[in-house]
Amino acid sequence: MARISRRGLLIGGAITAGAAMTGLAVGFGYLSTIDVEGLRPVPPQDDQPVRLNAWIEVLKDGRVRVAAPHTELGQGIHTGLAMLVAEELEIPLERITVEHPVKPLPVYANFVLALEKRPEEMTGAFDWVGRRLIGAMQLIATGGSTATIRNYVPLRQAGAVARNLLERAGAAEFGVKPSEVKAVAGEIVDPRSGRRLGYGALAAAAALLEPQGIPSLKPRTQWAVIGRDAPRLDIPAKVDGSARFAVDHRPAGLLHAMVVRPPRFDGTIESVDKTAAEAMPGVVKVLAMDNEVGVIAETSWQAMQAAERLAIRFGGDGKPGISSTEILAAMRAAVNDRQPGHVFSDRGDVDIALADDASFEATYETPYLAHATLEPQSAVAIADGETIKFWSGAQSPMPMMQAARAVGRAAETHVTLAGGGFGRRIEGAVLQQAARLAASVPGRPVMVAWRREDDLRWGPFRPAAVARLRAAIGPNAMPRALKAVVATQSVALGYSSRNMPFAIGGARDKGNVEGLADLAYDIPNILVAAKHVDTPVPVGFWRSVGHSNTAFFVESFIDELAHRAKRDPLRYRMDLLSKDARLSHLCRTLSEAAQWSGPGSGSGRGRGVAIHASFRSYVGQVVDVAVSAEKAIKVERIVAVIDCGQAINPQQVRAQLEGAIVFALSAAMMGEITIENGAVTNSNFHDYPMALMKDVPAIETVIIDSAEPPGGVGEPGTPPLFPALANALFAATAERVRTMPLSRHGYRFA
Amino acid sequence: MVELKVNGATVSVADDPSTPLLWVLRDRLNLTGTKYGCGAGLCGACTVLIDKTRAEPSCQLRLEDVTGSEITTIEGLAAAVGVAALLQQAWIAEQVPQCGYCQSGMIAAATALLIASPHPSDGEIDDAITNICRCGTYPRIRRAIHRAAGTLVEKGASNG
Repeated sequence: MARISRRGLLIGGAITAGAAMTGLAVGFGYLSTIDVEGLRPVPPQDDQPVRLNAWIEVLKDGRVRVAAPHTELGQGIHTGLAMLVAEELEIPLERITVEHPVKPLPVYANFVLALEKRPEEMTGAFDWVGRRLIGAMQLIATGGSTATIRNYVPLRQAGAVARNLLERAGAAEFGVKPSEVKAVAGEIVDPRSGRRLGYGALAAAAALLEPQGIPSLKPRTQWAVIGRDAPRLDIPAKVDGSARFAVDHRPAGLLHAMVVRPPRFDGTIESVDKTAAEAMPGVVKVLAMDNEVGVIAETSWQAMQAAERLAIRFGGDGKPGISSTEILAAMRAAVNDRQPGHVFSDRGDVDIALADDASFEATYETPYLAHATLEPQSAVAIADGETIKFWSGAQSPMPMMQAARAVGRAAETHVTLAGGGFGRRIEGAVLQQAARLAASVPGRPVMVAWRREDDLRWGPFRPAAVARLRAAIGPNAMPRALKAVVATQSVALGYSSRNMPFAIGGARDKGNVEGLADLAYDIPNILVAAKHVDTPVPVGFWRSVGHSNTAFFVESFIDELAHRAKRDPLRYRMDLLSKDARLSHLCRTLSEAAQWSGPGSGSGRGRGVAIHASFRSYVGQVVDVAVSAEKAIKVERIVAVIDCGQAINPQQVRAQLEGAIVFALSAAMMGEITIENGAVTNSNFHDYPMALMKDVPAIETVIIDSAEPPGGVGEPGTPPLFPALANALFAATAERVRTMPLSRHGYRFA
Repeated sequence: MVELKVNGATVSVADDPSTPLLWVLRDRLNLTGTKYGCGAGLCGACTVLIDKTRAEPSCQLRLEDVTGSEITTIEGLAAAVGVAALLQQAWIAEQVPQCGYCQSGMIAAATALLIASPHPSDGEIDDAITNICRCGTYPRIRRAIHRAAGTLVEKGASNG
């Protein structure tokens, strides 16, 4: 049985479990019918674009439409995937449009997210079964920085196979051998006669041919597209207001809905008096749902106004609710108690080493964080007969399918552009609301768009965490042993309890300690354990997930060890990484790019460094700060180096590094969701503030030239910023901040 | 009925005069380029140009506040103000947008800046652009404004 990963299984939810059992029950015969390659053409139909395979359609005018089963969240993935196709199909990038497919074919499933293996590595019998099972589950999803990894080989193959069909169709037209024609910029050319025909003219004939295996892909030395800066295909529409997000979908007769929930996570609704709300102008319907009330009106503003008039009696157990202060205290107690927790990594004998040597220990804390996508959660739904049609910038169509099923219907899934994702849009709550509200007004399209306050208060959140790290120091001042215990709230458990019929995760959730259990540092004795602290606070996937916590813990701690050893913090790390060629090269490159000459000597200016590997990529950062006596921090310079293997569109790798860094900078300086009496106290950007133009310096980025297969890019830039900033602050002020965010300690942006 | 001048045309809407302009632009006039981000004048996603001079958050403007004003949204910006078209080209040249949700408001704010100060310093950009970009495109926005203003100075950013 193929190993199905935590995140893959989670995202699939009920569909996953059901389909897996179906697949096993019907066995090999059924599985062999599942097409996970998608390389065969579909016989052409009059006037329709010609589908040369599951990925590539050719329009009459020769333009090409690429089916990209990944959500464009801003990470530039649609352009990156188009580049992979363009390289082999031999068509200029600007003649390609990219759309998320509506039909959830098995070929579009995210095998990498589910099976944690590259497609080109999936060659065994287990992989054969696993791919088909995941395909049958329609596990289409965008997350875990996997989209480029997942498509790097398959989309080039799809381009090559389609090109071969077009070459053969062109050769037949010209009466020459296929080997005698060439594909050039969207045309098949016969060099001897000079005749040429565009892909639009040849597509119908090409679609009647049988693919003859997969042609060999171009060697890297012949690439004309991959690895070169390409302008993003979606950007022109994003500068003139014409880009359509889910909230901009305007079908005729569109209604707008607001939803009200109990303020407390564990709250209930005892009774609702709808009278005043129903009497408000434009109100079409007020619908009491399980633990929510929906107000449907003609405009958004009318729905908001009417929602204010709902008279709701909230219930509960009458006891005071939980607070984030209490949760952090519980996590602190957990890392200090004698329970071992779930052990993820146990190498050598940590306890003997800790007993023998001089040791050092420190405890670090991080808060809950919100995604705060600038477009709050949103969806449009229409109940059309037995189908719910959805439009949403969801990170997966699967929650749409689940939401439709919950109201006894099938789903038609339209994945739109998303106004930011960061893990927030893998959740089903807004889709469930949209499905229920749409089902209450059949035939009428309903938009559910959360207010900022709802988006910030309802979560889910990046979990808070406390980590206790202890090191035994060897004779050369290097760590001989490391013991790390992390107490946090399992994201797997949070996600599964909301989105699945059964809950998994808890202390065993490896997301608790990812980036720590698989530490690259060469320390002979290591023990890493996790403890799960259960709370009613909803937690979810937040850009870089567990790494956003563990990088802060480890890279702060290593910095402390280097300082105690009176060693340069970057050289100290390089000594600990000397057996790892890629990370050593990364450190040398970072040292040169940042003109590293040590952390500085205090007096209000300092430099911090951090290195972290995540999502199959490696990132190092150097942050320079100037700190005033009034604790105002000016971030003066940030240098970031990434080794993400082969970069597809380097300027977008840089954009993701920049964005990931700014995302973390907001969080590290000021990010903190505070919970009191069972409810979030933050409400909007005044009390959950963001870094602004004035706060963000030029960010210098270096991409290490590499022919290795691609790693992730959207997330790996986020984790190192937290410790690099804290380490810079230490260098500048000698104050070691072990509790995020810096605002807790009186620091603010200058 | 309330009369509004939007993107050079006069339109009448039946909404209450206290309704925020944002929702009338989006839900009545179908000008969806202007976005909701916070409803509290904090994020700038809903920024529009008023009287071809001021950038203001449309979630904080009631219809009755702007009945006599010329309202320009992203859809009409390039036609109304020449510098906006330059900014849009600069935004493409610098490959600014990621998710793109904040960019209509950013370009409206940058337009007002360049109207007031055709060759802004970094300090002026810091003061004028207080919109939130959650994707973190600030360094590229700064470069795009300088590019449109002809004040682009190559200095390290994003060019390692």
